[in-house]
Amino acid sequence: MELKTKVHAEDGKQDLTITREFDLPVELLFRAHVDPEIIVQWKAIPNTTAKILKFGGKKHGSYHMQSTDAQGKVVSNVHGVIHEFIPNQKIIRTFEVENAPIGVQLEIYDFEALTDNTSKLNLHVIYESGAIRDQVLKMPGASGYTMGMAHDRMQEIMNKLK
Amino acid sequence: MEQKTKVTAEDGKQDLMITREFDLPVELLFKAHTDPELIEQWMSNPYATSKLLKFEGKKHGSYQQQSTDANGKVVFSASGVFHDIIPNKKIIRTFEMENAPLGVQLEILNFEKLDDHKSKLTTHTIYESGVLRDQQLKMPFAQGLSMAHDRMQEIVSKLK
Repeated sequence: MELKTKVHAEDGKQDLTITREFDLPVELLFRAHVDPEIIVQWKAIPNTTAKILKFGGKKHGSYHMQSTDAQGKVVSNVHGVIHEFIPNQKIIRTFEVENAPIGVQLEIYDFEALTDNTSKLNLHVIYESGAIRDQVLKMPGASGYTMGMAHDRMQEIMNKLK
Repeated sequence: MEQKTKVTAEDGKQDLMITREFDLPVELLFKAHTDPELIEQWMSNPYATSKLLKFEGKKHGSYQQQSTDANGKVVFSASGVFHDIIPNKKIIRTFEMENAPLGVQLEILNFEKLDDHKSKLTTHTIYESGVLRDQQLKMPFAQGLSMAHDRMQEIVSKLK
């Protein structure tokens, strides 16, 4: 089956473009990215529980998400700051996984209404270097498969709120 | 005179490396980037006065700066957020100039001690695209920055 979430990485560059179309009005697509209770449901890495310790969903706000395994051991800490926040249109933020050797990323989320019931996410991720980006692409999570599965979960969760 | 602040831009890339050595202990170089009054002084020049409208110099803080000319006209405004601040070592922040078609930049400032009286600032600036970076390079950007750094050296030297 073809992956619905596409990851586009041009050779020799230090950025990625990730796109996905959803059967969701753009308002619900946006809400899935800014409502902490919804975020933890679809962003959790399989077999972990995600918890949002801080979520300032506004311009100049910041966020911190922590994932724990079944034994309660912390497996990841993700944090960053929100540079721009335009409801139903755009989020620009920094992103860092603590203790991961992949530096800080700048992420630009564009939310686009296609019709009243469909929308598109365009995510532009910029890394500190091309070498780091290529390293991330070799990880199992970056093929579009893991993110695609998370997006599948998001579609399903948001269907219930339509 | 040769510019002391060097800007390196590799062809086809979307980032810049900016380096400058200062006759300042690393602690003072760092202070020049986190003390609002000092920032306002070295960001000002004979033609424009710089003001920090907001400055939360800490991890997850934010800032907003504005420069006005002698007639009070705003000639420059920029803002961003601090992703991380590690005293005397590192600042990671976003930077966006308002009303400029340059997008948002991710800036990583590294403060390095060379000896007790000398330090080096290495700024890695990453643009949204190579096109935007090249556009920035067409402006008198390196020259302006080098002059601001000259003023910083002069102002902060008095605190030694």
